[in-house]
Amino acid sequence: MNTVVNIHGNYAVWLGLLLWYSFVLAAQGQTLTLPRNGTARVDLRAIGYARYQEPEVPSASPIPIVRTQTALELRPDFLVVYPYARLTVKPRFWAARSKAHSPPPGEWESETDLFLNEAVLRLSLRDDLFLIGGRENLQWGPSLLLSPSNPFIAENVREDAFAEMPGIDYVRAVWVASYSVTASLIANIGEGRHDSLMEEDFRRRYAAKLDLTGAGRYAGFIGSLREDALRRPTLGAYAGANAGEAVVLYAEGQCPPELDEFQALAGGSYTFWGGGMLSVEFFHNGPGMRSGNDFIPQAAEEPTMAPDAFQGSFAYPRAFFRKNYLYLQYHDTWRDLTEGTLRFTQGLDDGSHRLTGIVRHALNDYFTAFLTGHIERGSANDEFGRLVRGSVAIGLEAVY
Amino acid sequence: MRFVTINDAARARLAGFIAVWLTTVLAWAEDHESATEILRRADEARGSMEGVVWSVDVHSVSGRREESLSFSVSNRAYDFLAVYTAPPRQRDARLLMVNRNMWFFRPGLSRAVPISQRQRLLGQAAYGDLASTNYAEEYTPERLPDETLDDRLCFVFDLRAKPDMRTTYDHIIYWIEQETGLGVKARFFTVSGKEIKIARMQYDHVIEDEDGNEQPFISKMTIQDALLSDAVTTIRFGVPDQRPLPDSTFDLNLFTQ
Repeated sequence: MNTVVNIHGNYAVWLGLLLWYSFVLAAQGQTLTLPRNGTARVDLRAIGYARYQEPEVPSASPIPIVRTQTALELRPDFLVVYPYARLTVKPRFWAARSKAHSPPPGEWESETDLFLNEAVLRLSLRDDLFLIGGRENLQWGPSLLLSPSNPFIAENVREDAFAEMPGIDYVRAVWVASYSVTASLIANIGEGRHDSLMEEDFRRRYAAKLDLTGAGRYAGFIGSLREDALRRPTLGAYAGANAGEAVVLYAEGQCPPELDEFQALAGGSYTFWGGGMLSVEFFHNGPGMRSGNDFIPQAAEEPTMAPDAFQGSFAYPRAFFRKNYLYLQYHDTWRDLTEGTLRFTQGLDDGSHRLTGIVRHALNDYFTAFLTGHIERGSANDEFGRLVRGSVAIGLEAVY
Repeated sequence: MRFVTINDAARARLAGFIAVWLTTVLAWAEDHESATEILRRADEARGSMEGVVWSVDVHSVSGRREESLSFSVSNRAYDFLAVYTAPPRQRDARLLMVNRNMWFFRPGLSRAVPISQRQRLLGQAAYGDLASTNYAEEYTPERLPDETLDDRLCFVFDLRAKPDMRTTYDHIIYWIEQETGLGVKARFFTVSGKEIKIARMQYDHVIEDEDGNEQPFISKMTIQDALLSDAVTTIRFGVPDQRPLPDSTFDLNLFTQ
């Protein structure tokens, strides 16, 4: 049996102490009172799961694919609040045993990881002016499939019920100019855990964002520059509106200097009286290919995993290689205890598709059980179904 | 060139017609104005224009099954930020309603998702039920005959959602107690006219209005399913902490941090 231990940087001791202290705080109660009108709180979450994946590629393939995995992740969230400052710290400890399908089957392998997923300090300079810095999951926009208006990170790992979005290091200033207008300046100053999500190299970017809110409608406009292409701005935007009390319509997109590479998403959702919500989205991906298989990695050193990667810290494949996609999602709750989500992604160019189901059932106030499954259909040259046929997983989340 | 001439009798008939028409229009306008004013006063007891922070508990009973949720709610006019405080598995999930746009977020989700006001909160309660009411602006009222409810004489209004408003309910019949001006009962209907639920309201809290006068404020809302008589959801509003809340409390850019 092989054992791999990943401890990032020199802060392992501090993270370990934070983890230990989270148990102490959680055991003592909900909220601690700090000097000078401060409070501190910790929410402790632990997730354990077992997953099985049915590969499509032969075991002799150089593409690394895990077949079976069991894992435990500890996710304490610390929150310290003062009248003019707010600190959030989210260290994570992950331990897993995995058995590979390819390259040629190996032994069970153990891996542990201790990392800081988010740590954000928010300073309120005035009631309407905020400075925010640190590692965070910074996302916006109404879309479910992905957020093309976000120049920093468009993916959202929704397909993996157990993964958290990895944090990236940002600084940003937010000015709430009025009830209807908010302006932000944002820069990604460090890679953070970017490498666990993206294959491409980290690039520093600067963005200005303007948010407008109207009665039952909203819009956002984002202008951004990449450090290595400072004179070539990318423009992004999103907008949404309520069409009645049950229908939400929205659109999102970005337009880079190469106009034929624009991305656009249009979607909407309908809420039934029983509470179920049906969402439909269409995504056009300008840089995508209508055919061909250049995106398929040919060498083992390219760490591609199946789209439903087994763990959030695995290298996630760059999503959406084709030009046009249709996305359907249905979400419902039964008896206020059981939640179900069904997601269907259809590649309109190659005809391949992916179906994901997630069921969460609250066992009591503290424990929630999960059952997830996904199947993919497509040929060796298609986006979905080329690496795996499907997967199934069960898990348990505990919150204290 | 032809001139139209009318004799005295015709002139008198025209004047009479105009007088009747004007009287009818003015009476309708007065009645409508008075209905809107009554609704506005009832709305004031169900939300604060300055800001209020309070705890809200939602308890649902359906047959032998019971569920509860608790929130810390910051409410200003028709906007609110609700942070789940219980049960532990829901803790720190958030709900934001700003200018009729509603967003939901919970730990584990990668980002906030837009939802409609119809989205169910728990039991018979919709997320929109946590918001202050703005019936005076969002609905066109039609006065129905007065009724006595629990020995209290009430105005009864048939409210239809105005076309450009994104309201939680299309059609409401609303009882307002005449002595206190408080909304005490509401029946909610779908567009097709199907009754979905019935709510009763209590006002045991007190807040100060803009002039410093004390006025009753909502403390409890009981919602019963119109079809399932044993399905009841109760929303209990804690003691309101009145304080001015800045726009940033309801800003989506700060929602998840």
